[in-house]
Amino acid sequence: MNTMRRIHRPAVPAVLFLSLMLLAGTAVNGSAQNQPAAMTAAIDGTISDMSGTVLTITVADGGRKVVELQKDTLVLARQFVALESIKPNDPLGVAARRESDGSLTANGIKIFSPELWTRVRKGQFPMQSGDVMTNALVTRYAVGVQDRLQYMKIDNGTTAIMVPEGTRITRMITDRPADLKTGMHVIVRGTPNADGSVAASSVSFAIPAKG
Amino acid sequence: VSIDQGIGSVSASGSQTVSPTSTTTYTLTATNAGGTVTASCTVTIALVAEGFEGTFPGAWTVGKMGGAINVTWGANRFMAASGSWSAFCASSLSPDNNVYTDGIYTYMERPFSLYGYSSAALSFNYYVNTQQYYDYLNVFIYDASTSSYNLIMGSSGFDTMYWSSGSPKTIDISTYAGKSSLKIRFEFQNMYPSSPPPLPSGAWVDNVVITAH
Repeated sequence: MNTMRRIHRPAVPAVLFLSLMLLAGTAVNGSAQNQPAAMTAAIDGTISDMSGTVLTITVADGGRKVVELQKDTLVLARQFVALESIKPNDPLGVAARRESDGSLTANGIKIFSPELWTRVRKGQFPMQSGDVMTNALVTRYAVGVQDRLQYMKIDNGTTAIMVPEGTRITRMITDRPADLKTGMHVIVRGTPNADGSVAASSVSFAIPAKG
Repeated sequence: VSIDQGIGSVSASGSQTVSPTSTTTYTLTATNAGGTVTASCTVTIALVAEGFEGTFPGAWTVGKMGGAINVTWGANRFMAASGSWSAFCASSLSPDNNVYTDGIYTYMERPFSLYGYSSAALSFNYYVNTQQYYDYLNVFIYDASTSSYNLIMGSSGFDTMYWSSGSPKTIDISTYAGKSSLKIRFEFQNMYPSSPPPLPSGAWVDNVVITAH
């Protein structure tokens, strides 16, 4: 993921309203922590050839690795974006600190892809660091007031979260294997086959920020 | 037989010590009745060479962007790509720490300059073991001329290919060549409210080297 990406810092303050859709039975979903203790193969390189579900990856030393895409291979892109790119119904994860007056100030925002959102533990949770994690859906958004706020509805209630300038906002995008192209820099995780190729469990890459 | 860059004539055999202050290419020229031959050798001077074996933070600035508890990057001796020490995303708790605290958002950065250079590369070893897609080690270059942090690498999940092999991750940063007010920044962000994956977990960095020509 060597492509340069600029983190945008909008000059216009904003207010963002969010609502958490807390569904029965999804309050605790530990799928995200069920990560394997160790992927047995990882490849960092550039797609130099594609043939059906088989990719050839050229790595830094010039060597070539063969990767086989599987039916359930997760193809995931990541992009730093501006606050203004958040839209209603976007599923967000917001890490925020609790201020002395009880309000929350964001220090990081992640916009989940639909596939990742299904794995996310939805709701609002304290973390060991003392911060609060809120996983919620956006309901509305406004720009042009003194502070940047986002409102999240929790269990039929609403909470507001300030978003300071410079807050890192990352959009996770689930793509199709067909979206992979030669020349893309990717990181492949998977398991090695007997012939030395790798059965990919995930292919991830970064997208340059727009603008 | 002579060598350029101000060295002059040298003996036809033996050695010659040089002490360049910046990356320098030396060209040796040998002439006799049969003609002239030349050979070149480049001595690369690292602008940054940090193995975390000495005092920390030294030239680094450490801090946190989240979390009420005082956890930052620090020198760590739990494991190292080489030598005895590395840097760990949550080592301020203990130099032997091998697990990150849920919810931390920590960074370490240091300035450097590529003024006068036309190309540059950053290399480092890293070990990452986090909640995949949720917790990341991100590496940025800060460019004061644009007041922006530019992401040059991110890693999440179990990623140790540039640690156990001993080979560093190398990134071409020539796009910043000629600029004087730059920073290299390693950032670790945990954004999932759950326990870290099996130990050791977090992000370790070692052997940070910036070279330029």
